[in-house]
Amino acid sequence: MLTLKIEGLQKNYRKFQALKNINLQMETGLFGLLGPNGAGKSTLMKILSTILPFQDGKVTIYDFDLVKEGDKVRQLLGYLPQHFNVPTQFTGREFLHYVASMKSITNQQERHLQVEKVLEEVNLLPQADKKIKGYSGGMKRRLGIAQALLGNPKLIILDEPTAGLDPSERIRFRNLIEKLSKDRSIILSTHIISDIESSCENAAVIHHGEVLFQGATDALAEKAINVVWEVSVPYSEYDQVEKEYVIISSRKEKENVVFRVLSIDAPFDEATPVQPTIEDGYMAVINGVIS
Amino acid sequence: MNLMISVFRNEGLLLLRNKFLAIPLLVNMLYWGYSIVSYEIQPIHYEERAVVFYKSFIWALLINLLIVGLIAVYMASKDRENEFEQLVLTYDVKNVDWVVGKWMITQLYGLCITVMTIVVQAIWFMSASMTIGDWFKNIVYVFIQMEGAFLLLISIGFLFATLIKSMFAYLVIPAILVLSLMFPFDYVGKAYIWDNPKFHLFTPFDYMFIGSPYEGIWGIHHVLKSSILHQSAIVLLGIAVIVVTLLLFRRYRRSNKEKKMIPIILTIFIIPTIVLSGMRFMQYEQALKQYVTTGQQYVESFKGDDDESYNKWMNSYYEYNKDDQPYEFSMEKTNLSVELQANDQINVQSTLTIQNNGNEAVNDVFLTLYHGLKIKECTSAKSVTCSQDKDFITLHFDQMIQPGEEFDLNVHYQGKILQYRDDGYIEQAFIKNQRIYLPKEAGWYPLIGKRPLVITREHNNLYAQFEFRNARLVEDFPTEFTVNITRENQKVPLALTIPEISEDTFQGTSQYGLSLLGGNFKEEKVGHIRVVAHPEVIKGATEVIERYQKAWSFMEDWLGVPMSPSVIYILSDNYYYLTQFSANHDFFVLKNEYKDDFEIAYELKNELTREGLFDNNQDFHILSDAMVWMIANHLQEQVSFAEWYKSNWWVEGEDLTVVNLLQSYEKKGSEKFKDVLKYLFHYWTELDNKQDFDMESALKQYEGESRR
Amino acid sequence: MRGFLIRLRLFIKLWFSSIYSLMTIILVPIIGIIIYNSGTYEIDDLSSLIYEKTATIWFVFIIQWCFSIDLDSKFFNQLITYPVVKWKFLLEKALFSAIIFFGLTSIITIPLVFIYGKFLWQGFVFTIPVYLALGGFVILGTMIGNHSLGGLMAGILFWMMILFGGALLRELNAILLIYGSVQRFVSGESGLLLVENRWIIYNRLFYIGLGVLCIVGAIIKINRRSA
Repeated sequence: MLTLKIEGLQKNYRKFQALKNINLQMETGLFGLLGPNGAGKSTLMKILSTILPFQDGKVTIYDFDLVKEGDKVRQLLGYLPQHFNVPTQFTGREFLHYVASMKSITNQQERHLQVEKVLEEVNLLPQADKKIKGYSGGMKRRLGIAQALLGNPKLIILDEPTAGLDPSERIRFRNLIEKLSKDRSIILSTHIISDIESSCENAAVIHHGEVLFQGATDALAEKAINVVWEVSVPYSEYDQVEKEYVIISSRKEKENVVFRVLSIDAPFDEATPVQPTIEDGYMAVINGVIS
Repeated sequence: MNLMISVFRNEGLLLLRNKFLAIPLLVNMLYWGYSIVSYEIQPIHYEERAVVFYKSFIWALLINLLIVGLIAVYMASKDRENEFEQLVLTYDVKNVDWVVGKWMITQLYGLCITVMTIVVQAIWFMSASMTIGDWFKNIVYVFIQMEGAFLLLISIGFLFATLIKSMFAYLVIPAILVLSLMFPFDYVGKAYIWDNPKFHLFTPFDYMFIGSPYEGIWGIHHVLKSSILHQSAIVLLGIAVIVVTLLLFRRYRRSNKEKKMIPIILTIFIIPTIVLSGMRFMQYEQALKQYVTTGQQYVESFKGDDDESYNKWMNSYYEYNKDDQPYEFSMEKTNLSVELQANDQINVQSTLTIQNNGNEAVNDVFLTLYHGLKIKECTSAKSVTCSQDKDFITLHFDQMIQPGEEFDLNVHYQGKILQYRDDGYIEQAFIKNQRIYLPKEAGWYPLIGKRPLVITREHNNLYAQFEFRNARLVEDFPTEFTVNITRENQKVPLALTIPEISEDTFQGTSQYGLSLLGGNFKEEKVGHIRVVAHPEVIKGATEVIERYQKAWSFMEDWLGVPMSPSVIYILSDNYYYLTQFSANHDFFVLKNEYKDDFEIAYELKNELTREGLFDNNQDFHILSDAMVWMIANHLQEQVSFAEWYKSNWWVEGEDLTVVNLLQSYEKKGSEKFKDVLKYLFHYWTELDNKQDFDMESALKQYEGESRR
Repeated sequence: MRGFLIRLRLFIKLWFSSIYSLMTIILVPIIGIIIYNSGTYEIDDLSSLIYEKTATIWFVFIIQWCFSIDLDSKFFNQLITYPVVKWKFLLEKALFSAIIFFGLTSIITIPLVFIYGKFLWQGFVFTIPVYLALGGFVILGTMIGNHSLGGLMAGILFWMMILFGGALLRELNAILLIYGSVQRFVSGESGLLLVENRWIIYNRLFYIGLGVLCIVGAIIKINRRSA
């Protein structure tokens, strides 16, 4: 079942076109949204979370029109923005009760249960009664995730959710959203490939306000078949290679440097094609090596 | 220094991009636009441009002070709140660069408001009647007042934003403004016991004036020098305050140079601040002392013991008519050779011709002369000894002065004529380069009789412990005056209550006396009346005086009392109030304002019925109102007296009995009504006890006499 | 709005644990002592001093605090993704401020009424239109400035205007309790609908109208607001 449908979405900031004719669809599950900085990901997230208006197009979320039925959309929405600001005078627990009341969880028992549950899920129970003023960056981020989960939202939009989290918290978070995605739609907007690789079945790549790829995550990798090469060259040729090819990675091996590059044809005679990863596919798409 | 300039420039850029900060500038523009347009569209101006300007200026200054102060707190604290300052502290910028850079851009913002105001003033005053020198002085005055105040407020804003790291820092600005300006704000020249007029000096701008710093024909000359002194101290204090802020700002971060220099700079600025403040304080202290000493000389205490007589005694202070003290002697002629010297000194050779109009021969004759003027010589053809005690001169003749006898007296006196009123705020009499004022009330030439120049009463509720006013000085007989004036440097034109026959020589007969003024004025004739006023208001004054003339002529015909004066001075408010009760049918004084017909009518009626002002005789008040209505009706036709009375006083039923009685005469025609009122007026004046006035009995008597 | 009582409890608890309540606890007795020593014993002067001159600035700070929680931290940008109606959010915060202010002022008024009589209550109620106008002005300033500082500045300007602008405002003066005719009106000695009292009614209606206008303006501003 299609939970999200975007047709011909256009967003302008005065003369600048932030989003151009976006067409996207998603179903229940985890959906990754990839793209470099300034691609338009956050703009798209803000539109979906009813914060920003748009100039043209149609957006339907769980059969609700975003423009005409924005209030109904907000009732099933959980959103974590890229820059999450919070009134620091509250304690973590008080803040979540505050948010819960605004998400119409008015039954005291239910509210209490939900608040304690999300606190546990983001591992903030020990700090729940401390003022947010004293929280670290990572703790504030986890608090942000917690407020997004309140109210059993059917659509969860997470914009750079793992920024500031340490590796163990990141894994914990990944497991959590995987669990949640069973009967929800979760959009994960990030430029950290590993966040998408392990959990998202489907993804889209957005660049310069346009969707360059949409489909299964594996298919993104397959896009880069026969365009990813590994080659070893002397160190002195580093600059030349950097100038001529899109470098995905490089490592030093004795007196040479081994490059992993993108190219339609073999860049060097001694270059060998390699099995592409999702990251390779992403780089190939945004650099225009493949369409 | 480079870093400071960099901070200054970048903060300036932020300021330019902040749309909210344009609002005060826009509001100022609109405010001045409105003030100027609403003045200029008037076909006749009753007030000078400068009067309107300074009225608006005070309000604008108060609001701008509040806004600029709040902006200063904002500028000092915004980067702390958005945490950018934390980042800045990791840079190589010194505390002084950071704080002073921001302080300077805030000062520039204040300067923009100041410049806007003085540009408006400069352009508007070009069409005002003043010399270039005066035009420039007005601009300087406004500039020092505004800039000094802004400088201090901005520094205070920075200081408290540094000390109080929360929203409460914003409250300090209105708190300081309220504390410093609360008492001076609605001060009318009488400080109460809980107020000390010396504390009025502790204001961010020089507020030592009553109502307005502008004094009509004398401009702002009175306040200019003291304002420069006051504001110099304020500017130095403002700099000292920002240096204190630097002392307190992130102390751990101060460089060695800052640690050494800041206390030195603070000392350098604090010392002249204290010196200049002390000078300003002493200046006012002197004036206040002179005022208090004068008051204490005359103060009367209550000697009774019951409440009723106490109330009567208190109210008698306001019964100006009781100041009149008839004297059998008259001053037939007064010849004065007056030398006006710098610093309020006068040197006068006078020849007086005095006549005994009484029925008895006496040895002693009394004169009144201000005690600050000392008699150097006192001679006469008859053998006489003169003694001076306070304001009174006693002439003791060896031979008695017979009834009807006239004698001449030569008196040479000199001294300092400077006197203060209203807690030392107003100079009652002064001689300066740009302005001269010697009113009759100052007692600058000998007056016949022993009359107090000042009336004071003990008053526990006032700071000075007494109430103080000029006495009403009326003459029973006219005097022929000849006055010759010589002066050192003053070049301002002079006017006297008698006409000028040649340069600085005046001659004429007056039953009021002599009031000399020199300043920026124009003299014109309205009918037979000489009018002395500021050039800008002469037209408006003429319009008002023409209506006064109409009323005076009417009253002279109707009631047979002399009303029309020979000279009218148009003075600013404070001087008007000091002189108004001495005015009589020979000399009149007006404020520079529009007066409607009823205001004129009330004033002229009050002149004739002063004795009854504080009576609670209802019949008399109805008679008063009828007279007012009659005068106003002559100026412009009104609704009937009864209708007018009802709309004025909102009374119903039995309260209208007396009114209806009068109305019955009104219905018989205007002449009949006039005749009745004339009769009732004269009936009332002839009563010994005015409280006995009863309208019904008076009307019955009128009817009786009419039938006869 | 659903969850109102939960949020009200949270905010009241927060207010009482903030520096604002501490300042209130310290300043109220100090101001009381200052007023007592100022020799203002006439009931009309006293009620004017308390309700028209002092309580007004206190109200400004309470409103500023209420709005600062969500606006100054920029949490408002997040809050609008919740199923809340923006204008209801605004009115709710206004109501919180009103509850805190009127609650505390009533607590102070009760003992004063025992000492000075019921005129104090009447004076308090009489001043409500001014509080409405002041509150509206502060809220509008907050919405325009997108920060509680905007409201604070607007409130301070309004307060100074009513303290000192008597000569300009004339019959629209907010400070009325000092006048004998108003005292008689408020205490019921003179009839409410008398011709000579109409100006008082117009005055209060002006402030009510101003308050409503400002709040409507604030609602329009907040509804148009996006991130």
